[in-house]
Amino acid sequence: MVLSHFEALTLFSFFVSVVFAVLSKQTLREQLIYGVKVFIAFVGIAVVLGWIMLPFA
Amino acid sequence: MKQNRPGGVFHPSSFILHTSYFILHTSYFFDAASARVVRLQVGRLRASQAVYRKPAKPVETQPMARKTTTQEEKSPKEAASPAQPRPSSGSLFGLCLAAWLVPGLGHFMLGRKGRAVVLFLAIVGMFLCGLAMQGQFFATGSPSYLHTLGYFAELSIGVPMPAATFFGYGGGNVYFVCSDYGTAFLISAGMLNVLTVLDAYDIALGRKS
Repeated sequence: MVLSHFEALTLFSFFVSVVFAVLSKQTLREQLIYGVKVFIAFVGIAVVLGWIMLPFA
Repeated sequence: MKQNRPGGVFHPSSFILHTSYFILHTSYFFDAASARVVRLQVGRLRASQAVYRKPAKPVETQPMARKTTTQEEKSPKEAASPAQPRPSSGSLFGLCLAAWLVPGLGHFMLGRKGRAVVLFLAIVGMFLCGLAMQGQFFATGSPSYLHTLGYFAELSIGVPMPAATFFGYGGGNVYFVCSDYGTAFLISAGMLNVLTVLDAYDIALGRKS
């Protein structure tokens, strides 16, 4: 399976956010909200860091 | 305080120091005394007013009921973990071992079937993606400490790792374009399984609902 860096990052974030949400929260609604937040945080921070590292590339 | 300076306590610096201590303590004494005097006067005033106050209607007093916590007033921790006997060490060990061997099995044994299925699918799915990207299996014989740590991290996934080796997975291809991503997926799947084991342990002890 050949994935780009961003695709691998997104897939990784999805799996980790699912596990974090299930382990951290109790109800389904809380788990979904928390999982989405964690997923967005993972991807968003990675994008921001990528732009920050761009001048040093 | 031993005075080695000429003049002893009458030396200007010592004099100032001792005088300041005296003022500080006496002012505190006077403050305390004055506060006591004020309290006494207020008490006397209230007592004198009580003589002219109309006696209050006797209120039917009920014995002070001891506040008992209802189910709703219980703290979330208490509500989440009602008093239950602590499981034996053997059962805890067996639970953790099962949770390690198969991702999600610990939660399944504790009755959290939905969580068990989701955890199993997520962790094993991550592991399979790592295999698909030709992630590397580490070995303990490596001179690198990081590789040894990586071995134990990958071993934390449980049965899937030896099962992959049994079914012909050759340990990955480091020259594959996505091999590094695959290795990260394999290691992270193992670490997530460790979190799952710890969560099952906490639930068994009643620390979490």
